[in-house]
Amino acid sequence: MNCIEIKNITKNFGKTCAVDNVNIKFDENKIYGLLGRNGAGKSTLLNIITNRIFADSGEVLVDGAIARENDEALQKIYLMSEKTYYPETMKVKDVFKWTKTFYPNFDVEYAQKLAEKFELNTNKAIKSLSTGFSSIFKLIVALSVNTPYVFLDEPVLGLDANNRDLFYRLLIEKYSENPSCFVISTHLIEEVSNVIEDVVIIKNGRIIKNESCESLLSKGYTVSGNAALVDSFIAGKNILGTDSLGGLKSAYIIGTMQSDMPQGLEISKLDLQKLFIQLTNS
Amino acid sequence: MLIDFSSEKAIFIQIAEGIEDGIISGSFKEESQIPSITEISVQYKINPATALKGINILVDNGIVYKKRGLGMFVAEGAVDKLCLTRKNQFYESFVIKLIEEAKKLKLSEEEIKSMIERGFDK
Amino acid sequence: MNIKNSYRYQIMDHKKSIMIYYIIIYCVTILMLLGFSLFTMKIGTSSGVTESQFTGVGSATALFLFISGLNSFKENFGMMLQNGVSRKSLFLGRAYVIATLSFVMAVLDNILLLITKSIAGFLNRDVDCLSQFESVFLEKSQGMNSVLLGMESFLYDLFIYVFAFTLGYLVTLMFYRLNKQGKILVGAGVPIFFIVIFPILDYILFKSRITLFIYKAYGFLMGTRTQQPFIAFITFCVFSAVFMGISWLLMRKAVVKQ
Repeated sequence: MNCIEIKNITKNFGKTCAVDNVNIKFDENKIYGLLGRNGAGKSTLLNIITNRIFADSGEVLVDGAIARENDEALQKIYLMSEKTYYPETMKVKDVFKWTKTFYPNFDVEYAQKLAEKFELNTNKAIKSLSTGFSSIFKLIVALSVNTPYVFLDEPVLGLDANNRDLFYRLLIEKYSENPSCFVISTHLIEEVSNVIEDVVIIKNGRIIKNESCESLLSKGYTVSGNAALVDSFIAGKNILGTDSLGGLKSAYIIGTMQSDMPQGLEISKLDLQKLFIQLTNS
Repeated sequence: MLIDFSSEKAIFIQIAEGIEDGIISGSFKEESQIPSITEISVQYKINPATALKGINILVDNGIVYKKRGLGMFVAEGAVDKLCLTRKNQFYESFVIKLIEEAKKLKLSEEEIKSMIERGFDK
Repeated sequence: MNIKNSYRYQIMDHKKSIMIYYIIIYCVTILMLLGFSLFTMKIGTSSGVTESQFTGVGSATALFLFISGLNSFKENFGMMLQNGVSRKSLFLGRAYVIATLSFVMAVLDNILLLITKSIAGFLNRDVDCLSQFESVFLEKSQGMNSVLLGMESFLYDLFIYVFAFTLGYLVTLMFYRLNKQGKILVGAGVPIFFIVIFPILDYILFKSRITLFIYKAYGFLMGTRTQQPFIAFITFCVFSAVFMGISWLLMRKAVVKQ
């Protein structure tokens, strides 16, 4: 199956190890969530995959071919990142035009349509766009580029709730009708948790979780209720962490639910964001 | 159809049940089209694979079927099939829970019975 | 390989400034020449012969290309990386751009020269319009027929332009790769070294023999002493190739600034 393979990638910046022997596979036609705290190494990893910076060791393969300095492989990937590398004075519509030159499958009409939906004036120069519209412009390109693998680094940075909602809908609609691989790197875990299929969690440059959301979240459950009751229940169990508020307590348990749960305890699914926080707190 | 994302029940099951409810209530008539995977996943902002999983349950149970190039349609006899299944589940889904709650509130069997009668009179 | 697209994009980047440059140059040159001719004609007729020399725009174009080279890396680099183009393709595209633009501008400049020569010839024999080649190789050009002269002027301009362009590109790449302290060190240090320190050291230690040697070597390599333009062609080519070689070495490890 076609995929992007990241093999033993390590990157150091001086004394800091930003990416530590990372191994991941991104299969085609799936939506991935790449989650990590600030400085965990997400952006560095994405920059390495897309040939913007070089790893100290390891390799990135796109459909079996080494991606580094390889035009053919790089044509299959697109990265939408926080930093804008388009010339400041270029107009949005000209960016569309040039993107089509470099990525022949770029759908200019679709991009124009999206620009209207987001109320983005395509005659504006890049530098004149606010943070929000800068993100909008970049995510429009990412949604229109039609490469087999698309990486989105903080796609909804600075977007208001309405536009974020619109983005997710557009992404899902596009993915449903024309599946490709999308990797979303974001801090807004709650928003993406139902959109992504697989989740990769990075902590301090290392991959700590790399599996489907379903499998990850089904590994445990949450119990909430009276603090004393919860405490007695969780004794001896594998606890990921707890939250307390006065006499009420929630505990995040790894393990299978027993068939007879004590009365007075509210059971719910593991929540991806809460799970993430517990996993990545130092 | 409302999805409770925090519920213990998996999303794809909620989708399947939501469509089943629609079929039983008559919102989706037999041989009529149900929303597509794309429509469902966009509406609830969920991954299409999840929606597909839910629909596949219905397909496996013969509740809906796929017309090539057109979409998913409610199968003939789906309503009867569903009512039968639901009737069998009624005891587990509702009665047990009702009795549990009643016991919690210390309601007697007689009180429950009269409440039920009151409900049917309405 | 994405060389074609890399070339197309980088050339587009230069188009606007080149068009403006030539509109200005052509207008200014022709106007100035007409003014020159009329002016000296007046003086010529009233009080004897005055001689004016009008050197072609070669040095202006060389400077223009040097500065263009200085501005050609950073923005294009970002754009190429964003669009999945390898540094190899960027470099090769840039090489073709340099070759193409130097060629085109050498052609345009020499056409302008022909125009000015005809205008001068028409209006006033006392105004000499010279190409860079003619100014440098004065003796040699006296004896050449005009076709050969035109060709050699064109080639001379071409090689100087490539030299200037590649030099500008190299300088900007060097500065891109250097960190902040490096930039200050090189930016201030190199001029200070060559203008102040080196002459002093040379005088004290070698009685300025090195400076003399460099002066002689320059004369030889530029073909001025021997009136051999062919050596100048080779010198410019070699230096341009070296500049591009170093530019590639600097570029292949260049990364975006995070």
